[in-house]
Amino acid sequence: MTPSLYFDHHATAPLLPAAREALEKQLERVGNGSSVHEFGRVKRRVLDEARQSFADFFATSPRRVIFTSSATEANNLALQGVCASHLIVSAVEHDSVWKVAQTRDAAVVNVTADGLVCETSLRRSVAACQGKRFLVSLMAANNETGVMWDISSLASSIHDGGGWLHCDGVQSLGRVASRWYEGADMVTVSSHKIGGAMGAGALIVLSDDAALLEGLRPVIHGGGQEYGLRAGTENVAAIASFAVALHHCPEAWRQQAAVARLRDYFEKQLRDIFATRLTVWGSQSPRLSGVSCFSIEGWRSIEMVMALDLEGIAVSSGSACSSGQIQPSRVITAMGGTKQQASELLRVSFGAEHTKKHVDYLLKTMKRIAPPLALNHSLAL
Amino acid sequence: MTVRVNSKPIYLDYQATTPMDERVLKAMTPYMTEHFGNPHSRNHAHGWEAEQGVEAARAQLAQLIGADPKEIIFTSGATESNNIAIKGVGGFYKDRKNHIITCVTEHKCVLESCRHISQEGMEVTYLPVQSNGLIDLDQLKDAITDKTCLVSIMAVHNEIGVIQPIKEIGALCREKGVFFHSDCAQAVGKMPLDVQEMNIDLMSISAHKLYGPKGVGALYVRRRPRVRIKPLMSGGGQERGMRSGTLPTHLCVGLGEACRIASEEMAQENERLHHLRTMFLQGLRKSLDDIYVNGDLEQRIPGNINVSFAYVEGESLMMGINDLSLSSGSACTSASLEPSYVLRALGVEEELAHTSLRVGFGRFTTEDEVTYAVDSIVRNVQRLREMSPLWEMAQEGIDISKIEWAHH
Repeated sequence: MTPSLYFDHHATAPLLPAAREALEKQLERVGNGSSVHEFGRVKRRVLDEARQSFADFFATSPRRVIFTSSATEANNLALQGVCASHLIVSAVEHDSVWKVAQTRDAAVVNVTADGLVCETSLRRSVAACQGKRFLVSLMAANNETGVMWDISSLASSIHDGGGWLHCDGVQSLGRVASRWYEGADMVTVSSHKIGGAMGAGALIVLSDDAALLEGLRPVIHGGGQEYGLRAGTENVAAIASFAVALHHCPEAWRQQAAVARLRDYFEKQLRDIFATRLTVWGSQSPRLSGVSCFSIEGWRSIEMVMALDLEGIAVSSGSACSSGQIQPSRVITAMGGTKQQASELLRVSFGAEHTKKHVDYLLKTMKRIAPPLALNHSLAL
Repeated sequence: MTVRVNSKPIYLDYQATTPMDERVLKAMTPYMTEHFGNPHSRNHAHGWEAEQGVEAARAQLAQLIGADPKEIIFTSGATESNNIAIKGVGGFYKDRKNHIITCVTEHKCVLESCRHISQEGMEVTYLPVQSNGLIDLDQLKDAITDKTCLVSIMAVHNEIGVIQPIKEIGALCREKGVFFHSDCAQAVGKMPLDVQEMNIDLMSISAHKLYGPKGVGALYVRRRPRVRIKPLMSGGGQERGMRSGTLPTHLCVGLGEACRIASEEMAQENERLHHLRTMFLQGLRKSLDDIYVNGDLEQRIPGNINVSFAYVEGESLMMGINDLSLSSGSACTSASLEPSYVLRALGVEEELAHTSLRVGFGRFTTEDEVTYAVDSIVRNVQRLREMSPLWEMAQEGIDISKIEWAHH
């Protein structure tokens, strides 16, 4: 059946009309940004303008904006390319940080039951790196729970210890109006999460410490594009649409209050329906306005998403993964959730196009198709 | 002449990038709008629709090169594919086999990747090329040792368009038990390729050299016998763990459609391009002496020619023909005015390397455009030669290479 309701904005957001226009315009135009002739120069200009937009947004210089093919690549560039001997990451980072960290024997910082950084754990890891060159990678907002971290205060304890802070800001850009990246030395952002086209991401270097940028090494070698930090013909079309989506941010911020009201309404109603069977993750912490991440006892993720899909409702069991199998969420177990709760996870993410009517439909459907607790338990036994 | 529309230059740089075919854009459009889902969202219809688009594209690409769809991984472009192939194979096998063979005229990203792994302890042999731009198979044979894990030789050269003896290289590698990687960014859709027949174990593919979009490419990785690689990027484990990151659905779909069109139209298109190139070369030769084709003219894709003009200053020529968009070297490096490392490797003298033009013909090049280009080049070369004392001396029969110049 054709899907009608999309509640998975944290996996990918629909392309904004203006971003689509920019994308199509560039797709129709020939030219290689490295060619000297006019066709190449036009592409170069579009690229330069986009780079300037990001520099302006983050109050830095264009030289410090490195476009990549995705946020995954930007995270890899930050963690693989940094000139540091030690790495520290949180237990709830996205796989593109987490998996690199594992290959580099990174220290892991725990999180609290509310999904916040355990500051003792961070302090201990930072202290262990004393006198060494190290990078800490902490996300500004979690991709599953939406829990937001105070990057600026975390940054000061890391800087005091002599380290650098990389911040995965994929979920924060376009959703958080404040300067959530303040204090971070590098920031990763993604185009398709904010309504730009897929195929573009960026690593932005904000540090005052020149050694960070100077020491950065590319993951992809070749023609020397992106100041020698990322080779490959630039995907100008996707980057242009990314810049358009960036310009759209202030409008997106204005929509967040309404989105938050919908989310809060949704969670309140959900609690009325499922009562004690419901656990909402990170609800006591500052959260992104559009996401609700919860477990319903006795209703497994895989069954929930499949059943809702049959009803024409798109939700997610966590991050969009690749294995084709739903893994119990690493984020939830890190927050102290049980394995069972981690396999009963549902992530519902709202966008500006949703209304109370959409949410009511979702609630009504969930209520109708939810298996009763006792029955499910006996099946499990 | 009415060839130039809105006084825009004529595009003759098809090896730098190609305009997107309208049919490709048409195929992509639905994936920018209604099928916008994340192709890795495995649990709802939005994700599946996107995934179906990606998988259909994978099959189209596999078909064009005689591969199984399971052997194709999508990347952000040929640069990334080349990086994965070289660093990935090198990284995985280096404890047992620590030697890689490539060639001095490979694309920058292959050479840079090799340089990178040599810093990590791999040994790299850079084969020279003959004056026609092709490698010597005997030299390759001699270079392979029991420590060799990979031979990386491109199929079609980006500057001079020559086609390396891929099938012979593949057979040799197979016989010696060495993996064979080929950068086919300039070859896919331009010449018939078959990974089985040519014994290619890894193949890099670019969409934007094939009338597809920028920002997407692919790497063919053989499954039997299996080639193992150490991934360049870690993350969500997409593309069978070999390349993490959300796949841009619309770009993958675009690459697939570009492959479909190429497989149907390549033969006919090549005939037309061959005709255009013959026209171009005959046009130049009719009016100009002392011009030299760089690289083998027979073992070459029809859409490329690379010519040097003696007794002309390269920069002045480029400025004179600014109504034509073409390159005087690889696009990646042409912003610098260094003579091409490729032409130097062929033994082309520095002066001639400086005055070389790479002319790329493609799907949308017309006869009128070629006539216009010939006219423009001829006029400018003649004008510059008239101003050149060297040309004057040459006309008087003085052998310029024998002149002893006074040093100031």
